[in-house]
Amino acid sequence: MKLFFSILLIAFGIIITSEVIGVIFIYEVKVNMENTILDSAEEKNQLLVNRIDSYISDRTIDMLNLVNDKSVLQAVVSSNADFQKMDNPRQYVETQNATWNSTPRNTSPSLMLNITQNPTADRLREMMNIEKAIFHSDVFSRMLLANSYGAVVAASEAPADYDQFTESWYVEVKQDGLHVGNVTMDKPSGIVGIPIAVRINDENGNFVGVAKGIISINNVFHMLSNQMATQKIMPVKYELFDSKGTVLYSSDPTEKPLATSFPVDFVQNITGHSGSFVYTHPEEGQHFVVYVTSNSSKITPTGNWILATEYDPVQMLKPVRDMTTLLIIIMFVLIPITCIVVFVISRRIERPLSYIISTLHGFSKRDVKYIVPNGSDEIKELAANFNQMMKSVTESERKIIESEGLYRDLFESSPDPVRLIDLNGIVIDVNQAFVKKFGYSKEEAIGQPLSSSLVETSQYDIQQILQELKRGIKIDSMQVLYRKKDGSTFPALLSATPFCDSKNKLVGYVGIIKDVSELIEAKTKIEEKEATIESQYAKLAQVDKLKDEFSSMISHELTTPLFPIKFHAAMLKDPKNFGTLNKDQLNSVNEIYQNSEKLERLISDVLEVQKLEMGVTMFKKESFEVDEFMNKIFANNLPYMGNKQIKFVNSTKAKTRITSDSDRLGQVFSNLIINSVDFVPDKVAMIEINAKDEGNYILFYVKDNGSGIPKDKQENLFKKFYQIDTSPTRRHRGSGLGLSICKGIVDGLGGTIWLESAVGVGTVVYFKIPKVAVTR
Amino acid sequence: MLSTKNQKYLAISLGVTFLIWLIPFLLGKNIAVFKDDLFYIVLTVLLVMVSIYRVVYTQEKTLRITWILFLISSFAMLVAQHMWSFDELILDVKPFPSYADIAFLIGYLSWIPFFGMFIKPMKKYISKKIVIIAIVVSGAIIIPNLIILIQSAAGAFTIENTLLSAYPIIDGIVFFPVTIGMMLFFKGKTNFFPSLMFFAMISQLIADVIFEIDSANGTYYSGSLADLFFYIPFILFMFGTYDLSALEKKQNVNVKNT
Repeated sequence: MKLFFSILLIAFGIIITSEVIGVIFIYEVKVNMENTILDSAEEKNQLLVNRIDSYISDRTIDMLNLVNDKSVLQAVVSSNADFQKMDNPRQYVETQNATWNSTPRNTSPSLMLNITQNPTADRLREMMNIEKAIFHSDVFSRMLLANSYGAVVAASEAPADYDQFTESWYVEVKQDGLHVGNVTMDKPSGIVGIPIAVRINDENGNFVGVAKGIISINNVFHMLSNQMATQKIMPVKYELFDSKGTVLYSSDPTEKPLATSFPVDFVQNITGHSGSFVYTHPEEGQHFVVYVTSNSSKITPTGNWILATEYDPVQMLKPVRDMTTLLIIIMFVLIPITCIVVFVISRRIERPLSYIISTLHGFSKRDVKYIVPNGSDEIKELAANFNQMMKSVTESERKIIESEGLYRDLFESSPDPVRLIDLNGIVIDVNQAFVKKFGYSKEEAIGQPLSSSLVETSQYDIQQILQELKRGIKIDSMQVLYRKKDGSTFPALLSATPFCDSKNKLVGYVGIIKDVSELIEAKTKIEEKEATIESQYAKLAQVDKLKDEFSSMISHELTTPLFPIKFHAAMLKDPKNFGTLNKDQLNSVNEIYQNSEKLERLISDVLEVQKLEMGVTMFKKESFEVDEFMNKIFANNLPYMGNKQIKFVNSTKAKTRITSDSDRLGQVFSNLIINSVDFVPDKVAMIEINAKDEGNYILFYVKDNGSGIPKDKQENLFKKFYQIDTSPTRRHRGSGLGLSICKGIVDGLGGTIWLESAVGVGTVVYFKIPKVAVTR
Repeated sequence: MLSTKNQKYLAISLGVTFLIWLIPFLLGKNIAVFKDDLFYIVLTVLLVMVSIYRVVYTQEKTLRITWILFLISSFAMLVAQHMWSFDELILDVKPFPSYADIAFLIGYLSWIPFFGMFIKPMKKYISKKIVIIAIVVSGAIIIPNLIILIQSAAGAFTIENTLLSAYPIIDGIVFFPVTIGMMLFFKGKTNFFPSLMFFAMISQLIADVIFEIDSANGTYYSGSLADLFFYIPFILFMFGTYDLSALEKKQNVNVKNT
């Protein structure tokens, strides 16, 4: 239905628009037509009004033709001859004129006085009839002939005066040959007309008389009417004015004159002008008025003629009316046709659409019936698409249900309590774990506010959590204290995530509650144990410190008595002091001396280690050449190689300077070389020393082909007193402090030390020292 | 829901219509006449459109005949208004009286059977008292205009005077069913939108009376006060007709659902 209405609305909108355009168009046509009509009428009327003068001229020529008629001329000449015979012809004329109006015409005493009933008068009337026949109207209302003495010779009707001699027109004609008078009313006949008169000359050109006629103004109008009819000018009314605006003639004197029809000074406006105007009367409607003034007439003394014409707008604008009628007819035909067409079209579309809609309506209620394609191709395509869509939706729905079931299972089977909260903090779903943990049934839990399962102290936190969730921030493992249905409480870690609908609009939150009461208990225990350990560690540190102090003190105390023992042993060995000892005595003294030295070294090492550990060892900063230093090391340690015939090699090629403590480095080399000497085999032994430039560092190493060190023993080698072989029968004796001292020195010089060793292959001990001394 | 929405649109439409009348009215007669003639074309075309819509989608046979009568009336108004507007707007011919009045009379006369049939389904609620009141109201409108008409005919009989009285007289006849309809509305027997059809006639009557007075005084022109009251019935008719269509559709759906 909406489709029908919509199409109808569009169609009618088009119709209205078209109609308005049509109205505007017709209106424009009307305005143009008005202008054209008025212009055309003005043009035609101008020709008409100009024709009045030429018409009068034509009639003057007619008059001249008349006077050239022999019978007319003869009558006038004959009359003049009769008057010439009189003693005083003018007196006779005047005398006759005095009694003219009182003397019966048919009893006139002389032939001259019987002016209306003579052959010449008949000729005049004949001529008037001829004119009338030509113009279908009385052209001349009266005609007369007067002789040279002013006496009327013949007249179509009796004139008012017999004597014309003193009349101004007579004098004018006698002098000028032509007279055209003002529009005046002819007294005897009462006819309004234009008098014209011409001079009559004899064959010699001598003045013999005048001929006068009065052109009826009605005839002028008759002429105008004929001309209008010929030119198809159909005015409602027209009026002729003289140049002063006096109405000379009205085509319909029974109607209100034009001059009083319009609320303008009509006469003043039209006098001397040509133009047109449209006046819309509130009651009568439009008036089309055209007024024209003749072009500078010189024929009549009254001047220009003014013709005002009123036209019927209905008649004039008939084509416009026809157009409007046509427009109305088109509209009234178009509207029902449009309705029918729209109805048919909309039905064609609506029916299959309604079927599709009802099918979809059923589909929305899970009544899946596929659409049988019907209607136009587009509708069929639409139906096919809907069928495809329904299939897809059904399939998607099945998958969603499956997926939903899966997620429901996951939700329900989660070992941790999970609940869904809406934006207002109301529980909308909980899983079985929640039910089990909190003791509420699902029905009880759903609809409760979030705060109902929280202890008071956690409620403020939860409000904050909700605020953060609303801002889209996830909550991860926040500790909250919950209360179960039975009133007991438990600590838990809450992880919460906002969840959104399909339009990505936030609709609620998922909260996962992890009971951490056991963890908290375990943590408490761990913390307690950690405290115990820390306490024990502190005690151990104290003991260690005491031990170090003890070692330091012992070492010092041991060194003090050792010196006299060693000194005295040396004194005993020298026969100069106490005489020569026997072999056994000497051996014993040597034994004392050597063990004193060992003990002294041991104590020295212990003290060294102690100093290094306590950070009181002083390191020098001196610059020296590495290759020179290595040569020195080689030379100093070469004596140790003698007993085992060891191949001792210095591979150093680096020629660079280093700022470090050369004595300490030498101590490191000595310790490492002595160790190597101790572990290399008796035969085919080899010890190599080297120093390599590695940018900011110098890499030193001592390499041997000794027995090697197992992997599991390597990590403890740099610890104090560590012995690889701790058995009572071990071959290699040592304090286990050498490598520890090396590490302490290398560390103190800002370097690092490490080793690479393989059993049966040998060992390489590397240490890397910065070229620029670093104080640690 | 739909009716509430339409009430809002109705209020807006009446407001806009008032402004469409007021602004040109204040700006001057020529503008008022021009606007008036064009606005009537739009109004009548829209009314015809809604009437067609109503006829097409009315299922019940008697109801459809009722609405066909209304469509005839609307179409007659369309014809009349076009003739009036074209005469006045294009030809500058005084449009009253004119052939347009024949179409106007057809439109007015069509309302009589339309409203009669319109209230027919509610006849069980129509009491004698309501009928008497309707007769009185109707008589109060007809009798003064009838007197004027007779006096006019006795004096200088003119088509103009006859028509000026004829319209209110027809209004008076139409007011018989209209009065009944309005009384039923105030008794709560009809809804708001169907009642718009009745209220439209009140405005129509007021317009005809103002037109009669203004024309008699020679002060009427297209776009004057009378036309404001001529516009309102078109708006009310349109909304009444359209909303009834919507209601009927809703009922049909409900029937189908049940």
